[in-house]
Order: sequence, then structure tokens, then C-alpha cells
Amino acid sequence: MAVYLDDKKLIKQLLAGDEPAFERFFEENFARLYRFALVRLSDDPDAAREVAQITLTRAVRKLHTYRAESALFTWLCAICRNETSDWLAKQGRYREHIVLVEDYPEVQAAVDSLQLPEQMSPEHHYRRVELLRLIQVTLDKLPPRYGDVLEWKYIEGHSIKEISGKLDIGDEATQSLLARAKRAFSDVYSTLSNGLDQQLNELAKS
Amino acid sequence: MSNVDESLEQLLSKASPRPVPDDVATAVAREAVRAEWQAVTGKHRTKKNMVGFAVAATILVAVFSLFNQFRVPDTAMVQVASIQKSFGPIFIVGEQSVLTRADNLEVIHAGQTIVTGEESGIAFAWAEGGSLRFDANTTVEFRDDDSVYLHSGRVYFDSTPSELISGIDVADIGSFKIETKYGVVSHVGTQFMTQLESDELRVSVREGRVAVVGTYYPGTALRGQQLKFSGRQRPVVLDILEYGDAWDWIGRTSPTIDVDGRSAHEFLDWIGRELGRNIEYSDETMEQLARKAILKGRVVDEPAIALRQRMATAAFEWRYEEGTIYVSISE
Repeated sequence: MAVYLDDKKLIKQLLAGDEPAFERFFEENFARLYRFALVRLSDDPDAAREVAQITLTRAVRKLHTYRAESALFTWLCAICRNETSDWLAKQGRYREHIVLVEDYPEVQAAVDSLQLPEQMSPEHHYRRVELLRLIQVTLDKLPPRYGDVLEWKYIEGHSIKEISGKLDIGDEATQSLLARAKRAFSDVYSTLSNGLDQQLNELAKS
Repeated sequence: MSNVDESLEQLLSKASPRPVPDDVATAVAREAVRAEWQAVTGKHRTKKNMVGFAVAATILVAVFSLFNQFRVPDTAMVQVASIQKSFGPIFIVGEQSVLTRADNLEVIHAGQTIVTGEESGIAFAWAEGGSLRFDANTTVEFRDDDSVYLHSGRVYFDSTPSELISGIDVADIGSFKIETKYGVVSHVGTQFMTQLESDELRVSVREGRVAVVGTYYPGTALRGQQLKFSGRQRPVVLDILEYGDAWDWIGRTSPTIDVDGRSAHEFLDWIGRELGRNIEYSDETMEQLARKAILKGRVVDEPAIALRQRMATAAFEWRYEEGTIYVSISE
């Protein structure tokens, strides 16, 4: 079983009351949890903010239970999923069967299929929208720095120099970070997008 | 560059940037989580000896950030309010959405966001006229000289407060709007409270009339009414009391007043306005007495306590009867 040593170390520092560790814990996870909740709460930003805050609050209460057998963010997502359900229940906004692709446990690859014919069927349209959404989901699933550099470089169009400046590292280190980030992105995205295909096939059969 | 790399870059370029929570929401969440974390780790207890240093550092940071804000070119620093009273932890949202303790803040400029902590409260003199109050756990952004944006919590505005509240201009009241995610709350000469929770907006009117241009529907409320907006539903109007528990926090934020040389009548008028109750004298003689009786000193206590203390030393008796304070001569 994999042990997430970096996350384990962070939790240890948090439990020792280390302030920089708290800053890192919050910075790396709040916005990602916000987005995780946002898509599950009908894009309600206030609700998502509240749920993300509650999730982190709950998480710090049970830091000692984190075993590092899954990534810290995965552990936080599990808490966030419960908090989202509770929040919806409290608001009387039960929504059954919210199963997003990224919630599927087993998944694999496909990237090229974004090049779709102009006349799209509803299924194709849905697939295209979902695939684009999965890019954001994938960026959040990566280690925080990986997601950030990919977004800065390819979505926001920053130069290597600008990114180096943001991260306070050399250009070569940035290039190397980008290469690692792309590899990681490719792995996770292909897994997620295959999950989407699986889901569409099941829908088509039903 | 490999084909895989190229297609990956193409794919990424089709995506939009990931949505991010706004700075204020992030700052508020950070402090809430930090408070919980400190409680869990007991950090706040072990670091008591650091408090003095931390407070000094925080003040330095606050001064530094204020100084920096003054240095920003092309940005007019418009003073929109001054603080008349505050208690409990008060924060200002700084760069990178970090909350900085700002308990000693005196003036507020357009663009600043203030956050009140647990058991806090603030009273402001609004530069364009009027008394503005924030309850605990409230986050408000000062947009410009006639509007604020309520992110969460409870605010109260009195467009014509008692003259005893020094520093409040009652002669020339400008417009004042409270913007919220549910719409814009504006008034016509009034006292009203606006409360925003995650899923609803409540506007309670003590005097005058308040209009709300809601995101989906408009609404108006008169004295003794509360307008409630929830989601996309039509607003609901409820009858409410203009005094009592829901309004008690306003008394706690009431600024110190100078009553030296002022009449008991003026003092009672201030009490009535702050508590949302009418003042009624037992007869005309009593009213004349109240107008002639001259007070001394300053009143630092909240109105309900000040009423008990001041009246105990005067030859007046008083009693609450629903929305009225009856005043008579002691037997």
C-alpha cells in the first residue's frame, strides 16, 4: 500500500502547531475543495465556499486520524463529499444520483476525441463539455504546483520566465516541472476521460 | 516536441481557468479554519507569551499595508466612514486575502473590506451622513461613498441618528445602499437592519421605507415589516417588532455620547431611537421637566444600561410597555 510521505509530514507539522504548515495546508486545498464542491452544488459559489470551509474545519479536527494511505486531497474530498450531502439535506435540496465522472473509481485514456464534427449530437455535445470540465478536475487532482504551472502556461498563456518568477525558481527548473506536470496530467486525464466514455456507454445501454 | 505533448498542450489551451473563491471569502475561511486548528492543537495556549509581539507585529503590518495603500498611484483614497466604537476582534482584508487585525483602525476608505470576529461589533459614522453598525461575524466591503457590499452577517443603518452621537451629520443625508448577492437595499430616511445568511436575505425596517431591487424580484418594506428573500422565490413580507432580541446587538454597538449640557428629553430621545421604542411622558408637566433637566458627562454604556443608571439618579421613573418607554415623576 502506498504511503503519502509528504502529506504525512505535513499533517505531523500541522499537529505540532507549525504556522507555515497551516498556510500550505490552506493554500493548497481551499480553492481545490471549493471547486470540488462547486460542481456538486449547482455552481452556487456561496454554498461551495461554505462547504469548503466546513470541510477544512472538520478535517483539522480529525487530523490525527489521517493515515496517509491515500493522498491528503483525496481524504479531504471524502470529507467534502459528506459535507456537501449534509449541506444539501439541510437546505432541503436533495439531489439523487449526483455521480460525476471523477467519482468513478476505475478509469482510463482518450484525449483526441475533442476534435468533433461541427454537427454534434446531444451525446457528443455532452461529452465535449464534460471533457473540457475534466481538464479543470484533472488540474485539481494533480499536486498543487503541477496544476498551477499547467494552467499558467497553457490556459493563461504565461511565459516560462513569468512562471519562474511566480515560483521563484530558475527557467530550467520550471521547464522540468512542466514536463513532469504534463506527464502526470496525461495519466490522470486519460483515466478520467475513459471513465466518461464508460459512463456514456452505460447511459446508451440503459 | 512529441505528438503527445502537442496534443496535450492543445487540449489544455481549450480549457478555461479554474474558478477561484473571491478574496474575501478566502480570507474569512482561512481565519475560521485557523481558529479551529489553533483550538485543536492548543497553539493559542502555548503561545500566550507571543501575544504581545504578535499584536505589535500585526499593528506594524496594518500600518504598513495602510501606508502601501496610500502609495498606490492613480487610486483616489476616498474616506467613506470613521469608526466611533468597536469591540472584539476586527480585521481588514489585506493582500493575498490575508486578514489583518485592525482593532485600532479609525477611518475607512473605499475599497477596504472589514470583517468582525466572534462577539465583535462596530459603529461607524458614515461620511455622507448616518450611523452604520456591524454585528459580530459580519463581512462588508466599502465600495464607495454611497454603498457597501454585504458578504455575510448583519448590518444596521440609521439615516437620522440622535444628534447626541457626535460626528454624525444629520443635516444633509446622502444616499446609502447595501448591495448583496440577492439585490440592492436602499432606503428613504429610515432605520433598518440587513441580514445576510448563506441562503437568505432579511431586511427589517424600524422606521421609514426600504426598497430592495432583488436579483429576481423587487420588494419594499415599511416600518414594522421584514422582507425576506430566499433563492429565486418571490420575497415574503412579515410583520415584526421594532425592538427586542433581534435588535439588541445594535445597542451594544451604540457609540459613546456626550450629554453634557443636554436635556433629559434629548437623552431619552436617543434611548428611544437606539432601542426602537417610543418615549411617552405621563403628562405635559413631566415632559416639561424632562426638557428642563440638564445632564452632565458622557454616556459610555449601551442604551438599556444607561437608561437604568441615569434614571436611577434622576427623579424619574420609567417602565417598558411593549414598544413604548413610559416616563413619569418618582412618587
